[in-house]
Amino acid sequence: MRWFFLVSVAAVVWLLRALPGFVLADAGASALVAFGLLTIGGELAGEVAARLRVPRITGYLVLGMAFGPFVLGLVSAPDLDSLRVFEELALGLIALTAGGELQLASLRKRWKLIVGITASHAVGIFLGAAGLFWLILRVFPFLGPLGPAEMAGAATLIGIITVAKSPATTIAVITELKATGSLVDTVLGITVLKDLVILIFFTWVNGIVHGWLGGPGDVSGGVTSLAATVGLSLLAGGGLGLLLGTYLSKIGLHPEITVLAVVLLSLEIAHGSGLEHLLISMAAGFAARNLFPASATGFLRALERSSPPIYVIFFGLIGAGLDIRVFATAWLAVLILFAVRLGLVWGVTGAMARALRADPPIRRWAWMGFVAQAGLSLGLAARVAREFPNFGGALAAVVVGAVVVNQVAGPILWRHALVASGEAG
Amino acid sequence: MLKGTLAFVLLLILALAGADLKRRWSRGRRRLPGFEGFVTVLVGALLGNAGLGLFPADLTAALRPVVLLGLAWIGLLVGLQFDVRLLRWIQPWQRWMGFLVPFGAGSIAGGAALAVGCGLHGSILLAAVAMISSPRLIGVFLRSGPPADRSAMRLIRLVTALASTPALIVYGVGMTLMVPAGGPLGRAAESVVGAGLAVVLGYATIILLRREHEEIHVLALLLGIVALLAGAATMIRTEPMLTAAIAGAIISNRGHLAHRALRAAHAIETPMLTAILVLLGAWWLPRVPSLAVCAVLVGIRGAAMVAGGGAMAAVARGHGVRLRTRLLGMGLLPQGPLALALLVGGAVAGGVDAAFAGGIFTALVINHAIGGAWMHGVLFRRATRSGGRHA
Repeated sequence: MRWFFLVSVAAVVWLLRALPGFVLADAGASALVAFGLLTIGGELAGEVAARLRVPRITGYLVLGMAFGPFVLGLVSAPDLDSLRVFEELALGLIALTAGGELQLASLRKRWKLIVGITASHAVGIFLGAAGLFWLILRVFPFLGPLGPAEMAGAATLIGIITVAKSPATTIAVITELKATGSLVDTVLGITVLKDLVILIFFTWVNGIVHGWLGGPGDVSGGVTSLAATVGLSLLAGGGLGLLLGTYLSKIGLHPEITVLAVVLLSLEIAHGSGLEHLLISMAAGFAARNLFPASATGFLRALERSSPPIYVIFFGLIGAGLDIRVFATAWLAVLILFAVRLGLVWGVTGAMARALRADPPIRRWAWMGFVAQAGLSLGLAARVAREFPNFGGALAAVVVGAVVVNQVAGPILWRHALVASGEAG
Repeated sequence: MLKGTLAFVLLLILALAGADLKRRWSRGRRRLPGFEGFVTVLVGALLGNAGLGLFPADLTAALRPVVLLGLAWIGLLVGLQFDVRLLRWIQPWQRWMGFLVPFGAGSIAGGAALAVGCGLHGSILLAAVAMISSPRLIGVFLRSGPPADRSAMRLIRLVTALASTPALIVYGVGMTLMVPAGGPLGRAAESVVGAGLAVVLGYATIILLRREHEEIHVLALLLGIVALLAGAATMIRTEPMLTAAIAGAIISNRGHLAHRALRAAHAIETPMLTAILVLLGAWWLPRVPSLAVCAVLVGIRGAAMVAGGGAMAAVARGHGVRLRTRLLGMGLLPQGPLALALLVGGAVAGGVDAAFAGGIFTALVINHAIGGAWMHGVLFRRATRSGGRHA
């Protein structure tokens, strides 16, 4: 009955969109309809997902894909643009929660493991993927005919995008399952650190590839500027966290709206000065939690409890933005990329965890927390498409396809890992 | 100058914090509580277009979806509180008087507004605003002790509880009719589709809420439903507040889980209301409030309410109710934030200028002061003394 209702409403919305004169009349109203559809549909899809023992966010994503502009078209591309602020807001809240989850004491205990696995990903997965794809492109030229330098450049860029993962997805599954333990702490720590590393690393590799292909390849300048961006983002986030913690401990009025303001402030700082919104919010959560543990902890717990509507809209919008039409043309390349990445993540994480004598759950299950890919990978793919017109478009399409598969498989695997390791609440 | 979304949230925090501080400050100092929403609008006005001009001039336009959602949320709340079973319990004369007194006073005020040149759009809006009476003051006074005239208090409460229904109907139908023709379906078909959508989504909410037990999921579903209603109603050029109210009334009267919806709706009522009121303040330009609008809403509405209250007192006496005062209409003067919400809706729909809005706002504050003073001095006179001793 509930699904019958959703299908009926979707049909009505489809009819409204089909009739000329409705959609264009009011963009704000159209965005509200899209918001409503994604929220209601996401809630129902999340329930089905929970019954199937997969994470709710997989339901939100699949529903978003179905309603998005590339399948049913109930949520249009202009709607996605109008709702972008919700996506960024949700990302900020998720990052704030993630930062709040990181405790200094726990990080001190595990820093070797966190740094070790992050470094192994940055080097091992990157080199493995780049090398393998350099070979694959010779046998199976899915990006079209490329010269040796272009082939090396494309393989290197695939390598770096393969390292990227989705912090939001990892955190969402942890929050949904109310998971705690050594596996959670380690994967969260790596998630945050990897986010810092990947941005610098991509800029560095991007500069090198530009150099190979005869473009502007100012590697050191780009990396220095990005390192400064990361440093300033962390500093700005720390300041915001200090502000938030002080407010929560001294005044404490309307904390939910205060946090919303902190996230928006982070968004405005990021937009205005080119800093990283995700990093600012994460640092703010981290600073608030570790500098003002008494007042921030309870509040962050409350934020987690009220997270379902945030996740519904965030992952619904992510799903709606994924172009799954790429499977029709490049399904084999997509599956190869997915399989190579999965194998490398499993092998490299497991090897490093064993080398550093990590706890058994980390050795066995941690890799599953690094499978999901979303916004960061899509952003990198879009940059590649823009900056490398020869092969960037085709490469971005394959990456988007792989992100779709990773984003569906990642949360399911991560949920399995948390349940199997006994850390799910 | 700050960007729209951030500016809006900062305004929201300032307004909420301001209201809280004012509440703390006034606790124990004054018996008559301040006009609800006054601080919110004032903060918006001080920092917005009328004051320091810190925020973008097109703030209201940029945040139109938020305003539409907020208005629809208020509409849903009004609808959820409309319970036919409760109406059946009261006597028919009470039911009739409860609807007729505010409707009559509002109609007279609307007619007067038309006569003084407010235009059809402004007059309909003013009529709807004039029908609203707030039950909040009685609730506040009751907490300090019993009233001097319990029967009068009950009748006033009855009217204030019912007044929002005619107000919302007049506002919704009026605003829908004021939208210029030219939609793809035609005016009549659009109204029918709008009402049909509200009924379908109302029933759908009942079905959706059946299996939801966690409040946060109920809230998410309601948020989705209200967004869908607000967006779809605006797309088919009907009034989102009325559409949401119809859906709310369906949920309240056809489902057994209305309390869940009501609890979830109340959970974010304050932020929603504050959001739209603070935008009203920020949008308002420094113009001298319209004296004519203020005079109509204070003088004409006041006289009509007092006359209506007198008639109600006479009918009540005819039915054997013992009343100590005939001036029941004085208790109907105070108006709550719903009146301000209608003003925001009118401003979003267009055709309301800053002078008109300023006139309505000033009148609401005056009505609150006059009605509140009467309640404090007459209706709760003895209670205040005994309440003071008790305290």
